[in-house]
Amino acid sequence: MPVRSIPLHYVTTAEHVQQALRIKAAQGVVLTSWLSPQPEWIAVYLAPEQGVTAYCSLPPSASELAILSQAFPVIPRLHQRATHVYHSAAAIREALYHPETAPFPQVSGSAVHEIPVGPVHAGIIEPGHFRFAVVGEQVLKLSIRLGYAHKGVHGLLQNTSVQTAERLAARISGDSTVAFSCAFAQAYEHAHDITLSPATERYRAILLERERLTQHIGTVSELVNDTSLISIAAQFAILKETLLRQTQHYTGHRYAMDAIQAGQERSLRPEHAEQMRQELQILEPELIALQRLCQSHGGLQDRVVNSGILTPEQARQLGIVGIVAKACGIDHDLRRLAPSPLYRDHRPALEPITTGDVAARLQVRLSECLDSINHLHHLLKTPIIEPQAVTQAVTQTSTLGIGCVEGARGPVVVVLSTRGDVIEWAHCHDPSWQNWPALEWAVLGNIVADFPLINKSFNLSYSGVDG
Amino acid sequence: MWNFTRRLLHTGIRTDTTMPSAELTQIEEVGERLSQTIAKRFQRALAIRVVDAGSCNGCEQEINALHNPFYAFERFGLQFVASPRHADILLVTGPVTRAMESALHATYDAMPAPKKVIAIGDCGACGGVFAGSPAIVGAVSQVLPVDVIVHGCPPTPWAILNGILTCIQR
Repeated sequence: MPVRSIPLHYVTTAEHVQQALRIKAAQGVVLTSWLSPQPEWIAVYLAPEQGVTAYCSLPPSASELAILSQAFPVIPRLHQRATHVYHSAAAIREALYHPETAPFPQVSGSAVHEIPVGPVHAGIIEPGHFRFAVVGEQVLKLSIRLGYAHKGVHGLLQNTSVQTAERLAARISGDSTVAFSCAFAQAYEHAHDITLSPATERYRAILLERERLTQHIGTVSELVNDTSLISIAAQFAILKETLLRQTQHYTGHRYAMDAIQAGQERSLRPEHAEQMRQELQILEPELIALQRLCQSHGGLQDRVVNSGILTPEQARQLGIVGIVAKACGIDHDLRRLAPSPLYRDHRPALEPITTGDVAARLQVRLSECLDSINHLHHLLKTPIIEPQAVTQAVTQTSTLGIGCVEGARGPVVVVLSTRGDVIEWAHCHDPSWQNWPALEWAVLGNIVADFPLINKSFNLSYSGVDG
Repeated sequence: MWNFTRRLLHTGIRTDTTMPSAELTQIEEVGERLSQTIAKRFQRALAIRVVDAGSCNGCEQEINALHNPFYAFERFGLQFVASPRHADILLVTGPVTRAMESALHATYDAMPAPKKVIAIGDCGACGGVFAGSPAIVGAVSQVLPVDVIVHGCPPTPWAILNGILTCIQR
């Protein structure tokens, strides 16, 4: 979880590009890349050897951006968004409010027909528009158009108080609220050089692992539901609801929203540690039994095996992160590559899967659940001593801060600039930024009816990207 | 197959059994009144359509939780439908982004009259933490005639059920 003291290098643009390409060559990925209002170019990278590094320089020129986009396809999209939200004329910003006006790539041919879906979907999911070009039942091309959940978060995060900003950060994507709160708090503390007690760090790690557990179980439930195996889906849903109710008991909120505050000490109550241990002892055998049921159910396996394949080569080229990358055998887990003291004794195991299909993503999620339970047991071992509230001095000059944690979906990153307790600007990055284009590749050649299943196995955030 | 069946038998019926007793009584009362009203006014079938008008997806999780065996909301005679043309009630979440405004209008217009609208969550009530952004229209009531507002960030599944009850008792 907490990645302490991320090295931030101030370099020239040419050197920044060179470093970025070197990281790409070392099998690294970009976690986020953003242009501040000034504008400065801040990018955070993760490479298996070096861990997390950040570079700050002047923005890249058009030709440099073209080179970068070859290595990291997500960078131009992020920079375009940054330019739109901070610098554009009203007319360009207006285009952000009307995603339906953007043109679609044309697909032609006598046997091809198009299926438009959304932004209002048949199920209870977030808004987005998908356009399938189909031959018979097979998908020839999928174009995804997002932006329907664009709430202007970057604008709201400019020159605002830290309290307002952290409430906004907790609502970038509701299913990763703990991860965003945690990354935001870390970024703020990184900027002001605040160190909190180990008890607070542990509290955050516990909430983060609980969120991972809850959300993975929820996703698996919905995935199984999409294969029409409703009674097993209901079994997973029972586990999720039980976890949510317990989280409410520990934190006062079912999703632990706003439970983590920047620069504030907080811990579990000592009696809660024992309750959580007992809760996990009941949960673990249930989860193992359900995992076995899923693996041995022919009908379920028939739907998930070989559907929605993303090859490891595609994943590397697109710079995919998180669960989707793990299902292709690519290891970018921040808990393992950039471990904090809390993960030193217990690092999540890497599943030896490279198939990149729906079954692989299902398996990765289930094994991460069991891993989180183990890790929670480990975190709960040390007796809880409630920390004393302390007021820490904050820097009065503009300072950059970076926070990144491994959320349920993948690495969540917050980059911000703060002066005193004012947040000058902030970018909260959801890993769905990197992963949405991969969905367009994974559905190719599959039948349209399998799209809900493939989409759910990716489980990407619309709100997290639309901002 | 045997493992599967044994598992279901082992789990048993989970509906409502784990709530604190005071809350449970209250919920049974709400559920009872809900069933009675739906039976009387909607021939035991109240159809609901949900539109996410730009929420953070917290509200969606809580609406989806109504499906789980603890709440099993269909026992009260409610169901979520895929088409607005089948719906009696529209649940709207989110601070209605400008990008979703016309889609929300179109969904509402496709519903047969008489129809009701429930705004879910603090965002639907007033824009929530996103209030004041030029990218949002704001409260659902600025776009559609809202009958009931369910507060909370996100509101609990029971608060949502209670909101539906309030709506159909009017």
